[in-house]
Amino acid sequence: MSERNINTFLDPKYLEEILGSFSKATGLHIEAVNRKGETLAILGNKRRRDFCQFIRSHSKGEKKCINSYKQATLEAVKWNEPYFFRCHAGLVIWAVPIILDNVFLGSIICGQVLLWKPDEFFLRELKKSTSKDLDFDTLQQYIKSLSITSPEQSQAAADMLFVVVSHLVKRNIHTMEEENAYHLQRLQIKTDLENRKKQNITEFADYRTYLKKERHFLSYIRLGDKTRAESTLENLLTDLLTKTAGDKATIRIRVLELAALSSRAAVEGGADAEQVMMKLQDFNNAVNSIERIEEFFFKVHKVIEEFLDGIFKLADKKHLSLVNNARNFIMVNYHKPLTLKATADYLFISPSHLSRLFRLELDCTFNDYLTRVRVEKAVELMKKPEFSVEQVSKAIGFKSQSYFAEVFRKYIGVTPLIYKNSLF
Amino acid sequence: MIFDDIIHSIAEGESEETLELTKQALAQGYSATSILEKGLITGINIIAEKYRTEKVNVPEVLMATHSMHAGLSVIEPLLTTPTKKGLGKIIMGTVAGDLHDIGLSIVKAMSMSSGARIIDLGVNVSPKKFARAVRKEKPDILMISALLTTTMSVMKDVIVELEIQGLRNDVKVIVGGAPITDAFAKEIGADYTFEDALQVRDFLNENLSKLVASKRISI
Repeated sequence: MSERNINTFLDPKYLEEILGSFSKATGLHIEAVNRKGETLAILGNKRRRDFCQFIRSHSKGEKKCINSYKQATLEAVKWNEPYFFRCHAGLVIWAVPIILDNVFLGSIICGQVLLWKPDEFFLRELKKSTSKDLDFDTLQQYIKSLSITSPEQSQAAADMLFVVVSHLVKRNIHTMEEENAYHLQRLQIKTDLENRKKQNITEFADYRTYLKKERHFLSYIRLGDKTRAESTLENLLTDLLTKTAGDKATIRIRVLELAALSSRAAVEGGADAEQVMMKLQDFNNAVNSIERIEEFFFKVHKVIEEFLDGIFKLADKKHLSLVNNARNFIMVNYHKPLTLKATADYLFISPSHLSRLFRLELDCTFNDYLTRVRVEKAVELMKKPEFSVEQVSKAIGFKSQSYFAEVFRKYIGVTPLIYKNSLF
Repeated sequence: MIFDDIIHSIAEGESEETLELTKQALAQGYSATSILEKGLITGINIIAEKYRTEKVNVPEVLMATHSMHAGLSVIEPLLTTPTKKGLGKIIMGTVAGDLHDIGLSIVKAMSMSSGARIIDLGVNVSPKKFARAVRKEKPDILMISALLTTTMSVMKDVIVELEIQGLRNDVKVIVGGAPITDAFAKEIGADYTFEDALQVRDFLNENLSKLVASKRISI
């Protein structure tokens, strides 16, 4: 299939029909170029501007033109969106990538315009970049043949062309949406990094901190705390990017680990094991063929979100805020002797209604949930050497230490004392 | 205030105005560095901030950049204090795969005022090319720029390449760009990173001569 080329795939007639009309309607120049930046067809008006023709009349100039197009084509493919650039002679051009079934064929080049009146600075730059064999006075005359467009017009033309080309290669909407999501992911990471820089956050530099954050993250998953889980995940991924200095192989491994750990945590939190493992399998398969960092991050985000959704099928939106409020109330007050009645009173609903909501939305009883929160907190506190098991037990709201030991053992598998001793 | 006009002309992408106003400001007696700092950089920062927070068309950014470069072209010849030998040499460039040159141009202009000799390798510079330049020119400082989260890892490749070729210890490496944090700089083994071009200038003013001197002793 490597023999594919733009000509056999995109019927020149069809191209001319669609893109020719585009060129005529907008008055903009359009060329189809291959991966090397060589022009395959000029569509619509059929002639380049005198300015470009003159520069291309010299072999050196032509080489530069092809090189400019090649670079722009590569950038457009890299981002999978219209790429704006200034060619070697200073004209503004945008390239729209042609990608068919994941094979990169070339791009549609559009523009060759100016966004500003050719001023003194433009001329000076132009003179610097053109070869001496070219008669500069003649070239200067040809500048008049260039049209000046507004930025809005250029952007709109680029957007429209992108849609048209996407249609030509019958790219499905789904991929475009994913691209968009990757783009957002990229922005998200960048914003996160810039914010950290601005706030001078004491920054992460070792895996100890990373793993600690990861533990918090997993405990949020087990408790089905979506909001905290997601913000911690964002943080983790930015840390990961910094720590690995963008090394893809390491990021791949860490992301796979993160997904695997999250799947276990989700099951512990009450998600259906069969479903979670199936989703994890799909994720692992998908990650194998990924090359871009933002794709890793996007995919891991998505699968973890699915895990979280699986924990609590909060189907009925009506009750969502009530259950969330109850959950938040527990999070803040777990160390007090908390009862179903006290929580229900706080929410101004009857205890039986709250109990029903927990069973309906969270698939567990009020006390089950409270205990889970307490055990999570206990695990966290146990890691601090200064606290004894008795102190931990008290701190999380257990009256009897033996009952705490029993509950802890039920959830974690070993008694608190054994657990604590294994840590130090 | 003429600086406000310069800022406005850059934000609007009126390169001809920027050019004229920069000349006027010089004629009124403002120093090249103050025009750079209070006019050109402030102007382009507004566009950068706008680009981050709301939707700005790429063509508008292109226009603003063009205006800033127009202004730079006026003051650059004045920034270059006739380079005396021994004031240090700086090589700078943006990494391979990255075609951004706005930050690079600003840092370049700022560094020029320190009196060091600047060698600008431009954009899309491969690790091998960086290393080759360091081997040939033996600079005191290498400045590497990356604007994208996707290209910042190339900075590490540059440093690794310097290490492989045994050049790393002879040069201080400064990395910079919007996504570059202190932690990242430390992680990839760079010597310094700075918040903005002004900090770079302050650093150079304070340390360049010391760096050059210490190097001379060690040789």
